[in-house]
Amino acid sequence: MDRAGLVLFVIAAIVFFNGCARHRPDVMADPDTRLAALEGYDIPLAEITEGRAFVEPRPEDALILKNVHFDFDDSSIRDDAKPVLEGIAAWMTNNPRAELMIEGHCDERGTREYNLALGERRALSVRSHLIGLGVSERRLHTISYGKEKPLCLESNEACWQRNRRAQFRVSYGTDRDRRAELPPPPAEVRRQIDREVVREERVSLPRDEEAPRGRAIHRYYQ
Amino acid sequence: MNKTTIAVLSLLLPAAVFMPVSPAPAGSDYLRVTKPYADSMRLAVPIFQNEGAERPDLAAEISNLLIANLALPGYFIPADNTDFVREQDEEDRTRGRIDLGGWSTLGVEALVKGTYRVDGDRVSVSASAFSVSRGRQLYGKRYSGDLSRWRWIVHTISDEIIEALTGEKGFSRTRIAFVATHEGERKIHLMEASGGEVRKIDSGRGFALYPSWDPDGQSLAYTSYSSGFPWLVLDNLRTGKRRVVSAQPGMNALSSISPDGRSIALTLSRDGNPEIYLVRLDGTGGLRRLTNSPAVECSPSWSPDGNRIAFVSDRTGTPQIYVMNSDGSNVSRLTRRGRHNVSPSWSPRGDLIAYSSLIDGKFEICAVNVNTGEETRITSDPYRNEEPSWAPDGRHLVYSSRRYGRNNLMVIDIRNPRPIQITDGRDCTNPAWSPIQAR
Repeated sequence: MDRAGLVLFVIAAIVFFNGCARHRPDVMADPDTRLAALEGYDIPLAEITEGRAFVEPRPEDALILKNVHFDFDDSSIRDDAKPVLEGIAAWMTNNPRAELMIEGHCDERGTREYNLALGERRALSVRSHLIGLGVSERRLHTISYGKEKPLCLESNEACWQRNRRAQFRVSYGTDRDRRAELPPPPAEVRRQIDREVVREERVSLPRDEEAPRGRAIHRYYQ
Repeated sequence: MNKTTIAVLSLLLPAAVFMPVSPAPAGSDYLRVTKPYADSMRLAVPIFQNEGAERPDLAAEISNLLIANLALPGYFIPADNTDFVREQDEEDRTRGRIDLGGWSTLGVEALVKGTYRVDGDRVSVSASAFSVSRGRQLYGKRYSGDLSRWRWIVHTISDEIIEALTGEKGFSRTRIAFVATHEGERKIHLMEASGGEVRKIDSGRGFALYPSWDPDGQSLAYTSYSSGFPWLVLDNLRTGKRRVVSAQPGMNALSSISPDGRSIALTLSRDGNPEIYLVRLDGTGGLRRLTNSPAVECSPSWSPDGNRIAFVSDRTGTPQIYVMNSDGSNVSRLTRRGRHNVSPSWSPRGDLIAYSSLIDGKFEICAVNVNTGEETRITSDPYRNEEPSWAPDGRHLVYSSRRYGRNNLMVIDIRNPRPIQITDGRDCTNPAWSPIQAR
């Protein structure tokens, strides 16, 4: 499903689940603007998740949609990435319904917040390079995970290099029609969502028994 | 639903009612209380006595929570719960009066005693606080309310004892939002300031990152990846309503809500590059772009008067802290030292901006004075310290610290930097300290 299909689904979901949401007319033609027009609605996020359209590339496509890597604290396209991106641009020409989600990632060394921006810059520079190679910007989306989705966890240059990457997921554009035919969720589901008032749940933090414990505020009374 | 209102039954009564107080011997009458920053007071909290028959388990729970709250700001150091403390407490009860002289001999400088009673779904908690060295009772109150609200009662008592003994405002009635890994996904969690009652916020599937509080203390803005895109969501924790604030192409993240609660400054990449924009939360007025450069601009943080915004820019080649007016004008660079200064957090007192700085290859928490430009280092330890966020008192910070390969949250008093660890997890990051909450 492409961006436009997702938007239609989301809008349908909003209308269905939030009949009382604020009236927001004027859903414009441009997909990005239409997406932006969702702002302000109370969106049942769990339902939108169903519209997630981007998947891991099929094995045969993964050979082409390879990760591209970056230098430390840098978002410019390296020479070794250029042939990969040319291959991807050609693949996009051969798969005219496909859209790409370009994920930007960083290594563990920078700070989380700045890395989110840096990861986005990496995704954006891949995007503009692909636009330069003739791919329509409508088919290229970016997302940054900062350093929250590392491929490996060691603290050495080889691992850092693997993590400083742009990675690709694909919307093949084949499930759009099927999505449009999906019936709306049954009324019970809707009632259940309406009832969902208690939204906090108790959890205990994951513990690592091997490392030393250092709680300064210790239990005083057993 | 709202029978949780807590009634103050008596002021400065309980201890006076139960027991007379005999002062400490003359000579020990030095007043640590009047200059509480010089050092921490040694505090004894004998276990609270159950006056009724129900819920004997609450005795330890109440006492532990009170101690955690009183220890957190660093003004007090809880004395060990030794046999000496238990014996002195028992002796007080046998003799029917509080022997501050005896407590003084144990080296105790501040003493908190209390009782509680549960009747069905109601609870009452009494507490008294003494300055042992002055030989005086400085606090005594009894609160009663709904049993489900007993923690809130203890938080209220904690803050009042801190203020009575030190003159400083406490922050037990706050929460800290942070990011932790839950079933493999990074999610927003909430907890009490002293680390209790950890809860995950239900934000749908996918990551939820970078929380920031609405100044009313009820809503939390964060970036949810639930739709498959990183959208900025405003989550009303009371009503459970979530609203998409920004769903622009690219990132919608790293936000800060204005002190009047009307606007949100956030980082968007819709125009090809991370920049800071302003959106009104009522949905009117559209999107207003505040920064404009080919470099990264991100991480806005409002000044408490709402006139200025601190942010990060790498326009000189390295990320540094800048400030601008809230309309984007009058940009000036604040940090001069170091090659990597990020994550600004503007103090509620208005004078300082805390940030994370790369010093000798490692991140430390620092603060820069907005008026003088003076940069002060706050943490100084072998660990990697990041992402500071101010307590409402403008004196304490929470930040994430990487220790023994695990990220945990620490609280530090900037005037007496002795960090206290408040989480015991593996990957707790991005803390955001709430304002004082009303309930």
